[in-house]
Amino acid sequence: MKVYNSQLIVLEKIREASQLIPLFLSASLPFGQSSDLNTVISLLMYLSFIVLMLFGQKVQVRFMLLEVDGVLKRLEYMKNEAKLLTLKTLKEIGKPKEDPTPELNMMLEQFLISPEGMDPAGLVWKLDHILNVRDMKFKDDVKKIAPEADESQINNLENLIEASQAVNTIYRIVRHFYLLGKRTSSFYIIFQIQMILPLIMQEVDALMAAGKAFSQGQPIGDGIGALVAAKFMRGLEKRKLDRDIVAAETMIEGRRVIPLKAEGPGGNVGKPGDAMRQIIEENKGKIAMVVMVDAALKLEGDKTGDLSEGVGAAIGGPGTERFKIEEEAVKHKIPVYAIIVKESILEAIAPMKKEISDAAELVTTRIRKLILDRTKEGETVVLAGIGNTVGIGQ
Amino acid sequence: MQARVASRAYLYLLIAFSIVVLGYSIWMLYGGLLSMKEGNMENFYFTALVSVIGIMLALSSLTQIRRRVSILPRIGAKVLTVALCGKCDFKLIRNFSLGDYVFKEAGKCQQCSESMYISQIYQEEPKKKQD
Repeated sequence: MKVYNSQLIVLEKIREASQLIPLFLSASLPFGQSSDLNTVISLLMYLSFIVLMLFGQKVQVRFMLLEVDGVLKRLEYMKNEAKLLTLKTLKEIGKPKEDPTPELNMMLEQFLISPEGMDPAGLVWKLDHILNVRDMKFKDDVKKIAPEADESQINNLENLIEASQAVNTIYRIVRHFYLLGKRTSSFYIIFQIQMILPLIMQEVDALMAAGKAFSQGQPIGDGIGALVAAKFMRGLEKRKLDRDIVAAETMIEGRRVIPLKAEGPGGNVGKPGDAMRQIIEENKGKIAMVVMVDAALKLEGDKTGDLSEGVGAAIGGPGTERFKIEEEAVKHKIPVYAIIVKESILEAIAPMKKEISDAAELVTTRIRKLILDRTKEGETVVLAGIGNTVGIGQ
Repeated sequence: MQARVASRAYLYLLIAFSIVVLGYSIWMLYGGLLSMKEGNMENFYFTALVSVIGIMLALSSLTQIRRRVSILPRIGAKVLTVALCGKCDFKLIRNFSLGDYVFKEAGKCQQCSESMYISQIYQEEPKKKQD
């Protein structure tokens, strides 16, 4: 609403300023009062002033529609590119016997209906159930069109299709507003989509980069948490926990540390909330501290790869996993600490940058210090590396 | 692939057109300045107005193209794999190849014949100024 008001104020100011044009013309046109060119230009100025007064908004709408049209064409091209990359990767890795295009088209249009929120009690578990069903169905659908792919390739393909699906959805939404605005000639419908175009394009660029990373199994910026946990796990015996999570056990100056992460190297985020609950129950709630490491969106001007330390469950997504971790932490009075690595949305889903990869070493040092400062010998610490583990083993 | 070639051709055509407009506008401005020296002020004002508009449009177009082109290398940036020897810290940096992942065994060390592992996979920084 504020934006609309300021827009109206600006238009009003322009209108006031434009009233000075006739004065300016009579005072300063350099061609001489009797010149024919002067008369023509003056007439044109008056005419354009009247046209702008009467049809200013319509002209603005036309210009905005032109801009949205250009972006829509670019989005369509990117959507097609993403789909082509997905098909190519599916055929190369999955070696399907039939053409997977119809199934892929169906998957690109898949949707999820969130649970009804009128009675919020138990909402998290309803959403968790729906997400589990969706994950299972999606994985089964990928397996059907990529029968030759192994488990980690299936995970990568799943992420690749999700990226392609996101680009497809964004294209359809922008097209919807464009066509609706064109049909109704409504200034405000077109204005709201035109206003957020730069942000939309930034996100689509990021998704395109993500598609490339998933198709080749390269680590992405979001995987920094998983990378840090993997550094603590290297060379140790691992065990599988609930929902695609692996954990190990190590000692740091007399403290028992349990690092956990999603099972790699396929693209996977797992369910850290369920795994954390399992570990806490196994230890009968005797956990001195939980440390969570994740990538977090930086603000413009922040340096990529910088660290920040805080408290609370550092985990994104729909919120179900954060809820589970917070529930367990409150139940057993476990302090939860968070270390985040700053990065932009593009860096989070594009192949991992060197600054982010280098930050892993700094994070391990910080974790060691945190553990030594906040716990005593003999106590147990859970270290959760959150994020997509594509291209990161353990 | 054909669409990509067409898109590149369109980009080069746009750059060429913008440069032609810029060159013609500068030439026109020069002509206007000459006519000012000769005392033909009417011609000077007209050419100055048109050429300044031309220069502004061409520069704006070139700036937008530059912004578009600056995104391209980021999308096609090179990804590198760093293999490290656990014993002698010998580091081998090579291009990423399909199947690489962090902490995967990466063969024998060239210096001490111990086994190496992939310690990092990252995107190479494009050689340009930071945003």
